[in-house]
Amino acid sequence: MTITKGDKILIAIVLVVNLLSVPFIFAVQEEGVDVLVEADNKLTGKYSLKKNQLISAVGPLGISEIEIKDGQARIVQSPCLRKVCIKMGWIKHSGEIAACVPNKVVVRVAGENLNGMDAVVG
Amino acid sequence: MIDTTQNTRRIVYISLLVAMSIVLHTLEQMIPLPSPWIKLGISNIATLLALVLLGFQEAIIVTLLRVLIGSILFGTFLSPTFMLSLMGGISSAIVMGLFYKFFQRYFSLIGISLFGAYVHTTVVIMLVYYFIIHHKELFYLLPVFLFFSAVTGIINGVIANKLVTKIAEEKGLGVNLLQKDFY
Repeated sequence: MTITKGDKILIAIVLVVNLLSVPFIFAVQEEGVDVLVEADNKLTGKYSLKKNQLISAVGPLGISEIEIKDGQARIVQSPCLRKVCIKMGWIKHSGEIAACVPNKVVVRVAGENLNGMDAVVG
Repeated sequence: MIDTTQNTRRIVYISLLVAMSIVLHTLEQMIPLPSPWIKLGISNIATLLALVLLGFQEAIIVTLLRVLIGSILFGTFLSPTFMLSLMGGISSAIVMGLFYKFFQRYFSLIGISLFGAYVHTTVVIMLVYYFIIHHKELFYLLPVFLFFSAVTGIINGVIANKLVTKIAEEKGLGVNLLQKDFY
């Protein structure tokens, strides 16, 4: 068999569908409910996104400071070299993460379903 | 009653295609790939061949047997992977069969394989969403999966096309007559 015109049209449609499914990603995003803070791979606290607060997470390098304000969270201060974590900026959607890897601090937004673990399959 | 010679031929050809499918499946497990869920699916080529050479029923049988025997060989029988593979494979085979039966004029095996690949991926993602991972964030991966299944679908289709053309050449028949020839 050789490739037909129908095939080519189908491939074009498939490419378009693929491009169109990208905004689909953003439509499915869920607002977060709490913020989970992990330091050194251990959960140190769960904080509500609704309450403006400042949290300190202690890691091997020092203290990373996390700010929750207006339903969003970010790392404001961190003893790391590159400050990549601070540049990550505000996170607010369920599943989003800001992390200071040198200091082993992870800030994760949990939604209604997410509890820090995505899934467990036996 | 059923012609015994024909029946035997049918069984032999189905078995050969199932064996081919399992070998291809095993081969693709050995190839290192970026993600656990992105598969080449080259065992689908055997399903496509069964579809063209033998028929709709036989294609479903080949797919079913491949999933069953493959899972027993790899020790994943009745596991979640097996269920996903089974559902995806069967629905993919049915859709491919239907499209081949009714739209043969418009699509070569490339188009058929593409439909099959998309159906397989979509069914698997839906099942994973409802039964394993309930997070809508799963759908972040949808465009990636669809893209890769489209690519592998096209590759499988091209290979199947060439195989079928070669077989038709050697028999000196048109492709649509191959099925009648086997019976």
